Amino acid sequence: MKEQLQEIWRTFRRKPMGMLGTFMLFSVVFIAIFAPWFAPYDPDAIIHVEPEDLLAPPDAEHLLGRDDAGKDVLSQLIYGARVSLTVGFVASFMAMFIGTTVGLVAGYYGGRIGNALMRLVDFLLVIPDLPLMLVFISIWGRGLWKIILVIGLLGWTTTARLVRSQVLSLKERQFVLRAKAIGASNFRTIMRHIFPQVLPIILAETVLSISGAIIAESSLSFLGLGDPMLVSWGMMLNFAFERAISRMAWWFLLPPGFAIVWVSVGLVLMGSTLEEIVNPRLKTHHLFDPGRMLELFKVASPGLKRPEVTE
Amino acid sequence: MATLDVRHLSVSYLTDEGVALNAAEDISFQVDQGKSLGIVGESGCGKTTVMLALLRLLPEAGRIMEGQVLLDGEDLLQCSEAEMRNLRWSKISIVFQGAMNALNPVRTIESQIVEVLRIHGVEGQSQRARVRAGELLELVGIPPERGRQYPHQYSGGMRQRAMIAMALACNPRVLIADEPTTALDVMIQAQILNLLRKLQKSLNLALIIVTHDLGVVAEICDDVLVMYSGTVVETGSSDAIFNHPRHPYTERLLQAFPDIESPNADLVSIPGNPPRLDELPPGCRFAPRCHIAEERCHIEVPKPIEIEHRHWCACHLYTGRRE
Amino acid sequence: MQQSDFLIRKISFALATIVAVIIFNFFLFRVLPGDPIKAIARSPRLTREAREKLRIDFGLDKPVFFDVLRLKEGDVIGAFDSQFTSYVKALLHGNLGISFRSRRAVAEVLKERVWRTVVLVAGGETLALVFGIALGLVSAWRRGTRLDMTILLWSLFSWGLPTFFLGIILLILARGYLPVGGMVVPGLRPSDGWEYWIDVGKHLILPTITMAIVYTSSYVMIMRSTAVEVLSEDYILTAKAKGLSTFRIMRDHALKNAMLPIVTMVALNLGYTVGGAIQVETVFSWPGIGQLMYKSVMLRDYPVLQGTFLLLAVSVILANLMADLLYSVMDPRVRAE
Repeated sequence: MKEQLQEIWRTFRRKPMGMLGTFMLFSVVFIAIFAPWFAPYDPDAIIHVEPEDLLAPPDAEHLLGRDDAGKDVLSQLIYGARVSLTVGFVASFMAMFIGTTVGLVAGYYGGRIGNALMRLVDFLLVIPDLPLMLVFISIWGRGLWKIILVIGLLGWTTTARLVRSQVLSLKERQFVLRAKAIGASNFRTIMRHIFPQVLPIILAETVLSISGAIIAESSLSFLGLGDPMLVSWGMMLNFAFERAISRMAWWFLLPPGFAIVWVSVGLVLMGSTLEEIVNPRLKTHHLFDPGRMLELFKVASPGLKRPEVTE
Repeated sequence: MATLDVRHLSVSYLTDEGVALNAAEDISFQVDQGKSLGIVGESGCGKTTVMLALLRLLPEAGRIMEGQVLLDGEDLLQCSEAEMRNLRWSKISIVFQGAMNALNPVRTIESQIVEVLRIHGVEGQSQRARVRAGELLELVGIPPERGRQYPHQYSGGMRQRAMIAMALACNPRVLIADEPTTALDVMIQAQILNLLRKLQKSLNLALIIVTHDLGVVAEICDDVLVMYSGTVVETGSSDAIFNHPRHPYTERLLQAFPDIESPNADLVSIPGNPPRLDELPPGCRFAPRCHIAEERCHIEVPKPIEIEHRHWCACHLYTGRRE
Repeated sequence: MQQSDFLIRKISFALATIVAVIIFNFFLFRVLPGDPIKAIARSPRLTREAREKLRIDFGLDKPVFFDVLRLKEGDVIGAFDSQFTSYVKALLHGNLGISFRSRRAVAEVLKERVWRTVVLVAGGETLALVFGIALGLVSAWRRGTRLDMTILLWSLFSWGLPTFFLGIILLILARGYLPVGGMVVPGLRPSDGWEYWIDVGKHLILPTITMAIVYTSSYVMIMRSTAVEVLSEDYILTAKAKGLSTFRIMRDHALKNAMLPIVTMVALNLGYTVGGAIQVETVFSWPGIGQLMYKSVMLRDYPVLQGTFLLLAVSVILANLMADLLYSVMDPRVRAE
């Protein structure tokens, strides 16, 4: 399995779009981790502000200006990365874990369990995401872990479907039948033989879903359901929209959103490239199939037949 | 005058890097009205490419490098695209290989035939067009009521016949059948061939049959053109080709065909493979696999020589004989 | 007939899902920690009479699912006189409860606002479909050209763009040129006739464009990849051989086949469209169901929240069902499944 991953990395390295995405993502991760070194100010520090400091436009000392409380926007943006990224990663790993388990069980055992699980997936898929999340949070209350849970608990369905269909096709393959013939337990068969084959696809899908999770968190926070103690990019947008929109303080309104876009686009590029490497014929995503989009950057696609004009 | 007169047609494909791969070189042949020509050759030898070129339907990467395609004296390669659109199907039509996907799966058979009738002005009124479509289906042995069904509801053989009906809708001068029997089982193959022969006679069509199956050619073709790796290797009447082939490739091809009269004879195959388009040999393209190749064959491309009346062969065996 | 099998399957799934949503909806609000109804009913801010009335109004004096005691007594019917059955009964009568805030019937509030969201969503989806399909086709036909790449790059970018943020951007850009909030200028009323409706229309522009932009990219992507596939199919070559013009080929052969995945996509997107509507209505203060949901969350108006969720979920389920049916009409092969 290690070699498989190495092989994937080697192929990935040669794809410019994938590498660009990786750079886009990791630059932000790096900045987030080393926030205290990058942020010019500490967003939690108490500061003394004059009235003209409130919603001050950008200047030399505050590259992105100041918010409605006089605090430096850039610093908040940098520290905000920590929250947004954390929620995104954790929620999506949770979804990956649940989805993989469900998919493995449903695919491997099949029968009534499998059907029941898939009905559950269908059910969850049909229910609109954001309203459901709104309802959950409004009843359970706000908080970091609640948001992570809510996003994670609703985001596993795609992975589950993916994993299940892979398992179904792998189940009948030789090496699985052989393993069972020599008496390997089901669990062992799954873990040692099936799971490694499915892992690359799960990885690709997870990368893509992280961007979905980040956007989901930002939407929830924007709508006022984020953790009030932690300032994520979504929360910044919530504050900005409520307090700065009338003054058109674009320096407060726009940067967090663009940060979200930057990270999402990076993740999508990475994820699509991975997906293409791991299984180019796969149709996975809710919204669209990013793998197909990468055809653009692929060589050798079937020629388009057009009315011929003789030269 | 021959209905279809193809002269020195050459087709290439452009690779992504801009290199031109020569898929068909110096192809010449003629088909008279009421006669049938069989174009034979291994898969990939360029037969379909030539046919697509005739209709100017090459894919994006395809280029017609030179030549003339004279249909009733008019050079198709000189027409504008608009003129070509008019001529397609009305003067020359084609039945594609394995009509599996050649018919639109979400439209009824009838509507697809009616479409051609109306586009080319054969039948303007939809009611009359539908009736005519029904007649055409009957002509190929399909009950007209089935016209309102969809392609997936037809068997393979029926789809092929439906395609033939559609191809004849506008009374073309020339009908091309590209691998009409491939992917069909033997019984159906016979049906299709009989149908084609019958139609050709009754409608006085100029028929071109493209196939890799010599048996098909022997059944219904008046003339034969043997292609190898994009070039015409030998061409003549069926009689001539089958009874006294001249080209080493044609001979081997015929030998490779199992002979029912000597069931125990060893199956002869031709060792090696046709050359890749990006690795074409300088001389005769068959030379690397030819058992009687000489030095000259590897250097100089043999030009077609008329050995007997209307029997041409492109081989250095005969090159010297020209005056 | 085979088509009816397909229909029956899809309809029963939709019905089962709706039932599940109803149960789920009830369960969510009554049984989870922080049961809102109970909390409100116990709120010390209410007078005793008000509290009692609330308890009876909301049936809080009854057991949640069924009465074990009554069951033991053998009174099976009576045992089911529970909050749940009251809820279902009320639902069947179109009663979705009473808003905590406004004391109006939830159903009434919803009815008032529904058309505003429908107009927004319908407008946005239609625009998105038209542009998505057109751009997708263009992209596929002109594959590899700069136009194609631009379209694709834009789609990539807008995929990472949260809907509400796009709304904010457009709001900033359009400020001064187009109305950016609310549905109508204060003072105008429907009785003012044309003037009123034109003003509504003006207020509708920005939110609709926002919705449209978000969903265009997914349609462009799907259309493009489907069109690319379709255009390389054999029957397209046949169509060309028949002498059809490019336009005719696109319209009569490619389009119908390429549309099939779009229908699926619209269905899949419906859940997201609703989420998008919530965001857009909030940003532009468009007084539709989405904004209502947002407000009810902020104000802890649980009956409204519950009612809105039910409405949205059921709408999406039904819309999905219609999409399935539409697909089966468009693709004759499916009917034979």
